[in-house]
Amino acid sequence: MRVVIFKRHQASQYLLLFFLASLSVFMLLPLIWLVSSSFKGPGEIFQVPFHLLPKKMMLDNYFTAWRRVKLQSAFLSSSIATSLFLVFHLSLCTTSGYVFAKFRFRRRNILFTFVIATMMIPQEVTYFAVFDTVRWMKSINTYWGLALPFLYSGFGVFLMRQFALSLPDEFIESAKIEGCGNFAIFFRIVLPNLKQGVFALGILAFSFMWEEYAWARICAASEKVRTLSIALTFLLKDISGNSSIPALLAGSVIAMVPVLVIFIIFQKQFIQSVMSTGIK
Amino acid sequence: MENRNSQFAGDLIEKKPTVHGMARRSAIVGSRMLNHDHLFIFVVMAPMVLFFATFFYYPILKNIYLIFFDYDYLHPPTYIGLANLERFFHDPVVLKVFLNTITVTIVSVPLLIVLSLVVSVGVYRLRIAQTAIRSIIFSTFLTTWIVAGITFKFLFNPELGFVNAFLHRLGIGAVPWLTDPFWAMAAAIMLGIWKFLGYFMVIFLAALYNVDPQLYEAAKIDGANSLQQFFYVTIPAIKPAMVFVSIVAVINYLRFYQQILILTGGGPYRSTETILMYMFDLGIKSRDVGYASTISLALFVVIFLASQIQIRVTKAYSN
Repeated sequence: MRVVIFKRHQASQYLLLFFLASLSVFMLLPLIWLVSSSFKGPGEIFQVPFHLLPKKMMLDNYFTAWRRVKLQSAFLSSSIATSLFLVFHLSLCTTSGYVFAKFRFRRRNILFTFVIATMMIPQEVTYFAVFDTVRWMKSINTYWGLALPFLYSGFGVFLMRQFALSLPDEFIESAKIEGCGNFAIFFRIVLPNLKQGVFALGILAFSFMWEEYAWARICAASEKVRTLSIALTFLLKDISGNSSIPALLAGSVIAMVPVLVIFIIFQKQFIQSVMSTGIK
Repeated sequence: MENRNSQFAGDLIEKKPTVHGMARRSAIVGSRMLNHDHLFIFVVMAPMVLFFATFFYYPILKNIYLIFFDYDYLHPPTYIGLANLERFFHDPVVLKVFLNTITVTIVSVPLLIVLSLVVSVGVYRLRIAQTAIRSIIFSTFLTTWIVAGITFKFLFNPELGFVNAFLHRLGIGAVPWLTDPFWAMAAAIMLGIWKFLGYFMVIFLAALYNVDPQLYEAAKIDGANSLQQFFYVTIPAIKPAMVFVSIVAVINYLRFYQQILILTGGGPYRSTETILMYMFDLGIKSRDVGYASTISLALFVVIFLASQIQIRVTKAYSN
């Protein structure tokens, strides 16, 4: 009797696996097509039936994308803007979240509402006024300008506060009695214990900034600071005939690589950080 | 306050000298630290307040201000009274882009919630290769919108794309993806679901992992089958996650922009153009900032109302 139940259970497990594996493959099809086509010649991309492996590996596509259409410089711009943003966003949101979690001060609750209420504001509606402000700060067409409207986020402060709340008060209290200053406490005691939270926010922030488009389109008009998202849309507009489609697809693969690499290395943490957004 | 504290400590002296010693020391340390705390709080909070005021609250106020002005970024704004508002309520394109955006949202969100919930329950129950399947389904979320849009644009190309080639094999005629208003919308919805499914699946999974297993045991003892367990145990337990998902999804869909810009460019005949596409067209390309601000404010109001309604509805249901 027990054996029968076990087998039935196992059979249903394999059935479930079959369905979910099929779904996974189905979901991956567009990406498989993209990667495979990025190695194909212009004539082969739309050839029916589809071949997973190209007849001739066209590594040229990647060379064209990287050098000739200057995705190289766009890749660099995206990297600089994203790094700049990450450094500031993480340090600013972490300190603010920590202060909200562990200090008592007048109007703290009002201030916290003031911050998290911004999560209700779709940031795109602010860009017309922000453009004027950033222009006044002489930061249009600079990497700094690309990162400026995102230095803090209501979500980031909220998330870091949630992580900081779970730190035991005794840690901080005892360090205070030892005579540690607040900055020392933050760097020596709080930050090492918030590693997980900083990492979670870092992953989410990175994947946000790497694909940011709307603000970059307004702020980075010049070729020098153009990010990957912007450069790819320009490539898409410039397609004449079939010739640059392979380069565009190669460029798209290049744009995906950093996020995918980080995901493959930190798979578990990546998924946990997305999970933390729902629970926290 | 501090005086009273030390006085209180002073009262204790006679009875318990050791406690007095500690209390006095901590009172001294406390008052000295208090000043340090103030400095620290100020250093951390002041830039933050300045940031949110400059980059969130001031722009909203400025949008309200610009409704009454004609502004092109180059010349100082000129007052034009209610002309922008009048234009807004008579602009057929406004009606169109709001309807398009709301249609995409209303069709996509329920579909997305049901699909990601079903998939997450499947993954939750899976005992073999669960993490691998979870990672693969999630991985499409990592594709940037631009790359996803480019890929779908070629796959759904009516003449050359593989979707139609595949349908042709099945004996179905060519579907006018991207060139027919209805099918262009359908492609846009599929693109959104393809990208978001993995993300919301992970959020639901987080909620499912948090459900107390004893609840299922209790339900089993009461004789509930797996479908009943799902509706009477799982659903109520993960309701907060469902509310979160629906609010996040609605906000994200109402903000659809680059995904459709790439896929269809808003066409054919503005049939897939979204609010943000029209707003940025006016604000950046035409430099009609006053009118664009009017539209941005309308979008803000719509998003605000949508989340308020969802919160209210949930509260009403919980009572």
